[in-house]
Amino acid sequence: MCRPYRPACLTETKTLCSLQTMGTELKPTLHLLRATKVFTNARGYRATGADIMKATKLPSGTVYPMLARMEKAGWVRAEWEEVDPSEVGRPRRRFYILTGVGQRSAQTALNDLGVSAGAPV
Amino acid sequence: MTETVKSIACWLGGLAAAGLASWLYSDLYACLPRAQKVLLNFAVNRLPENMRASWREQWQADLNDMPPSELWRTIVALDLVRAAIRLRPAAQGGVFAMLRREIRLYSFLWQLYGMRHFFFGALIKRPGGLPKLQLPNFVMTAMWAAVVVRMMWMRLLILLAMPTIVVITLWS
Repeated sequence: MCRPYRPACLTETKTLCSLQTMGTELKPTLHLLRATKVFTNARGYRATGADIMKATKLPSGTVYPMLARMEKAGWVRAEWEEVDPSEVGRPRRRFYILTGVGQRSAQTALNDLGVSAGAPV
Repeated sequence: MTETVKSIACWLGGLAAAGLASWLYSDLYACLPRAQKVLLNFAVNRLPENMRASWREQWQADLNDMPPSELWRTIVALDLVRAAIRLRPAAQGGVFAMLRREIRLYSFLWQLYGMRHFFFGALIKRPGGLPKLQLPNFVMTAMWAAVVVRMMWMRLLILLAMPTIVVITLWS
């Protein structure tokens, strides 16, 4: 029977599941690593929730709670788009930016996958 | 003679149902932007009050950035309810409260699954053989098929296939 591929890094609790980031433990799941990879592809290492949903094909019910956990753990920081909603006629976007902590933690996990997480912000 | 009349009646019935489905499809599709707003409000109201304004603005902006398909945006908006349920314990720190909400949501979805014969009855094959045809099943199935499948040629196919299903079912 075929089993889905699961990187070794996601099962090695010693090295990855005990990553400490700003006092909050964040388990590097496959979804989280896929989202982290989106930041490295986006210009300026920043992405909105919609960008992540489009790139990872993950549903909104998964992406936003994950972004909240990443923000709480210090992997990303969020900032509002600097526009006036009344001028542009649409609500402001909220950008998530990968931090150095997030980049280093993700890189540790992504090393096992043989891919690069990009440069830190 | 009776059989011929029955087949003509079935064909006309199918034609009428497909026409109704097409009409309902247009109406439902026009309602989708409003449905998105309702779902967004419903999701935002699941959050604690101090979080609502920022998440509302963020979700509205993200929905605008989604691909220009009203159906897709509605699906994203529907899943925001799940996002809101999952965001609550992150803000309030209650894992068991989250579990209770998730169980409530999934039990509701399970009840919907139990009603699948009503929504998709004409497409679900029963153990005894061909699908058992009932008018609500037939109309609902045609409606959902027309809503989900937007392509004109597929709607034409449904138009032709439905009477065939009716005839086969009545004859079996």
